[in-house]
Amino acid sequence: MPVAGVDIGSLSTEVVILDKRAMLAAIIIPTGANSRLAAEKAMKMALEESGLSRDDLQYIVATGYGRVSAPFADKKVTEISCHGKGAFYLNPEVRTVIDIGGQDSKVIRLDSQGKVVDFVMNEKCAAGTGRFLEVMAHALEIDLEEMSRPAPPTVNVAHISSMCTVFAESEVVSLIAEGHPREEIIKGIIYSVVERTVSMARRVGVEEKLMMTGGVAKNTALREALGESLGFKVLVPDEPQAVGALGAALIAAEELEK
Amino acid sequence: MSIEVLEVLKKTFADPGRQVKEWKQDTGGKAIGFLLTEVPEELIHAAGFFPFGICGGRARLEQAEAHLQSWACSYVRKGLAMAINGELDFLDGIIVPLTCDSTRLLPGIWKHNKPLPYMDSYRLPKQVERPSAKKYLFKELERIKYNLSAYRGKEITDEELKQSIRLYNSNRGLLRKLYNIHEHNPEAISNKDLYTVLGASMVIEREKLNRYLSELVATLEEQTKPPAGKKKTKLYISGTFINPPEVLDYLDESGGTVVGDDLKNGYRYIQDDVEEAGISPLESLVNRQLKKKPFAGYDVPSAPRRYNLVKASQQKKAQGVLFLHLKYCEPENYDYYDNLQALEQAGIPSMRIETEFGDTSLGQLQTRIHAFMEMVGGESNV
Repeated sequence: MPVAGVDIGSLSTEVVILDKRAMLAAIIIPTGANSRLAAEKAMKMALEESGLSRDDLQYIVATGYGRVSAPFADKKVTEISCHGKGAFYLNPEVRTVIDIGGQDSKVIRLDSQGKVVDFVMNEKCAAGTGRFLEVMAHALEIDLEEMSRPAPPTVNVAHISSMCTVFAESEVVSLIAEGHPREEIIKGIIYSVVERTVSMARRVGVEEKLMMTGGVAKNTALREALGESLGFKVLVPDEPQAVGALGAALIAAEELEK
Repeated sequence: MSIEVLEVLKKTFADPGRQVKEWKQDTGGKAIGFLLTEVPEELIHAAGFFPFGICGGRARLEQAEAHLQSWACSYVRKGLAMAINGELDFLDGIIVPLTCDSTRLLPGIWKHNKPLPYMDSYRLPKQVERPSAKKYLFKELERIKYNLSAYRGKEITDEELKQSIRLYNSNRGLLRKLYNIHEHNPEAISNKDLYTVLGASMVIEREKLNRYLSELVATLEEQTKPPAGKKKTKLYISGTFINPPEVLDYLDESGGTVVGDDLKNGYRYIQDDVEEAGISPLESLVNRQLKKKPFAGYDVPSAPRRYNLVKASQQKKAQGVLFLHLKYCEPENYDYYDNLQALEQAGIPSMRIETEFGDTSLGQLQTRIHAFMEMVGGESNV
């Protein structure tokens, strides 16, 4: 009985198709300007990959900020529940999930049954999210790949005082103008995101094991710095961006069993 | 289900100034505005004025920025912005309860920018359990009564005040009935509609309100069938205001129902009646204020707010508490930690949301409320 989870995020859209909890397809594409179209497209690609047709899908759960306008969902669930569900499925020892996506960051605490017991979410602005890193990479004229390369401990940290994406961008521009080496500025940016994430995490309390999900988890430098700052090892699944869609598909499977 | 009086009240809430303007045109009377929620409106009403509760409007917060710092709460900034942009031009006067630093600053700034013929403050006591509080408050209410009488040009009589108290008691009683109907059967009247009626009750002619509420309550009591369908997740809301109103939509759509609150434009507005028999009506008003449950503006050492919060949540079998705070509300910030600790000890989950009048990112708010509902209810159908 195949089911699907669709995670329509601000920057990327993911579809996961499961059958008896085995993954048949996982698709990640950019959301672009039209979240409905992105969802349709990702679904079509996932169906092709799994060799199924739409009618084969017995239940579809949508999540992510675009869930409200999701075209084909049987049920809509927030990304908080879905990331919790997905992370716990990948590793049942996970008690804390840090999900940093395109425009949101969240820290989710799970109990021993994988149930969400508390969470925090950033307020309105995109400070410390994927979009923040994109803007900073643009200001530095580097790609995200370079942004994610861990710098040796000998590299100094250029201090970024503002977490506001707009102000931080002008700070970065000033640092470049002042002649600070690029690695120092990158390290400064990474540290500023880590500081913000850690203070958010402390609000709900951090317990091991800790899994990082969402697109920003792909940034090696950031997750290493995060682990260092928290004093925990940070687990990252193979496709951190697809964890929300995986959780949605798992909820779809549960709904079907009800 | 569409009930005619409910539609009228919804319209009143959507355009708060309409009724008062019509009333002024018809009667040639005067309107006195007040900030929520402690002001003894019965005195305004007894003087024959139209009491108008100020609670948000169209004015942009920026219009108050030249006069109030951006870290003054948005309720106060919004009120001033409304006065400056002419949205409150129908008011002949205003009474501001001095419940925090921002409200304490407001009357002077208001007067400077938009002077009104009648401007007063209500300086309510903070330490309500001190023996001097009663004596003080009596004098304070006597002062307001004197000022209102002087503005009218004729003293407010005890009989007038008693009549107003009776009307207000009746309105509050009906609103509590409505709240009770919602608490026990949320299908009968939704979260959104309940608080819309509460909001409308502050900006409508109170005699009319009484007729509308009687009809509404009677209709609902008649129509009400036992709750059907899915069980709702019960929530208690603590804080300052239901704001933005979309919060209620997000609760309605995710299977949540409010069973209690301590909000200024919620249950706090209707919870305490004024004794009608025996003592002088002014003394009754004093007693009502002193027996009110504590809120962020003042605390009662023998029964602090956190104690009431836990007790109310437990009595109402709330599955979670939603804190709705206004950004930069210092009194709420002071209380929050104590409240949170008390809830944690009682094993009641909670979530805190800070909003502002006129500037809240709704998508984010929706996700947080839905996620909280999924967390405490275990199930949500968005």
